[in-house]
Amino acid sequence: MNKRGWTTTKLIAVGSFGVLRVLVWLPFVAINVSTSSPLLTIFSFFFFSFISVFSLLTIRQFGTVTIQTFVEWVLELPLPSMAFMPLLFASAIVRASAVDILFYLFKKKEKVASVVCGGFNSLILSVLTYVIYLIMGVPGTEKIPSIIFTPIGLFLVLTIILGIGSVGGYTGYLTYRKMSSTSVIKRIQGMADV
Amino acid sequence: MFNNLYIQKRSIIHSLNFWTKFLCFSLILPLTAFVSVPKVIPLLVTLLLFVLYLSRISYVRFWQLIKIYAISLSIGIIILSLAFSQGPFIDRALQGIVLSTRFILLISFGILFAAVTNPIEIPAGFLQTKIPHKYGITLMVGYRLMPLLSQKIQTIIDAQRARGAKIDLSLQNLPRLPLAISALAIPVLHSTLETSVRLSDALISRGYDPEGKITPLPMRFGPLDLIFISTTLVALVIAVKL
Repeated sequence: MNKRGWTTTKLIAVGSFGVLRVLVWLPFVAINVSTSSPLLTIFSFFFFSFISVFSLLTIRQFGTVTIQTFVEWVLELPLPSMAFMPLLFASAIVRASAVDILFYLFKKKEKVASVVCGGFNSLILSVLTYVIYLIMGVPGTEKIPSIIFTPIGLFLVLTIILGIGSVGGYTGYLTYRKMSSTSVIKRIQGMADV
Repeated sequence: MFNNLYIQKRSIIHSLNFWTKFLCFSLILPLTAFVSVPKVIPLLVTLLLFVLYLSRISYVRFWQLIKIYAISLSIGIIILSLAFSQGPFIDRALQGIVLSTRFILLISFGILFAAVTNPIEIPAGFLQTKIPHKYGITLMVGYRLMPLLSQKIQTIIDAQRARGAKIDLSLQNLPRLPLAISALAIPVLHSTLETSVRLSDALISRGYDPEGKITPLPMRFGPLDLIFISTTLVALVIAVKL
């Protein structure tokens, strides 16, 4: 019997996805802060989309990514990341809510939902990061629109950001398909609390 | 696999309510650092040093915690300011120094919050605000899962290395990272989900009901909490008015 609503199993599972995201990303935070490596930026687009889509497909509850992001942020507070910046937290929740809404709209077509959610996850992340930099007055931020809104700039941005995010989302979909018949996924999706 | 920033001490700052520390160090003081005029910034630096003194955290130790952020962000922001700001070289450099100081203050207050807040206070603090306890339990279980999953991930990495996989988190190895991830993704995800299911079974068998009622934790603000919040709010108002 597929129980609707947030069961204990689903809540703990979404928390565990949050823990997993923090654990996997944390070793890269220090490298990212000191080097701002483009490879790491690409990895972050791919990985964040991958884990968000996988958790959405596994849990299948509206609000999955939002709760997961909330758990991630709180878990990162005592750790050496940048989680203590409320502006970053607010943008993360906005991004997560948008991904939840998109998945809800496309949920009947899993493949399309995965690609769309993955791509827009990265795009919203980039836009919100730009807005935060603008608010904080980071020099050079105001020049970004003039660079991006050119034919080549738009092409590059859409390819890199949307493309990598979509690939991450699709990889999450493929991984979920590979694991969907395992007993642990069936337990999370179909377990009835006693 | 990860280092907690929390520094256990007995001090006035450590004994403050979680929400006092969160409001003052994560919201009010960082906001003050960003909206204040440059002449107020030395006062904020003095306030930071004074709070560090009250929290009994040594300045050397605190510097060890913030130096990677402080140095890299300062260099980055000064370079950006020199490259993109308008005006003579000296003005651009000064703008960069002022902005990087604001960022260092922001990061310092945030790390101070993490250094004086026991991790278990965080989910307990959220439960005090009467959010549904099922989310608070998710947070608390998340804290318990961190060392558990960290250990499991390390076991899986060791097992894959024993099978010949080259998994190494370094800048030189970054291009080979996708291959390494593909060897780890499914075992790690499966292990994570198995652990979460076992944990939820343990909660269910002990009678936990996510929709049931529990007695909420009381929220208590002492005189020190009120003094601290008032002082930081006054600092914010002064910074805005000047």
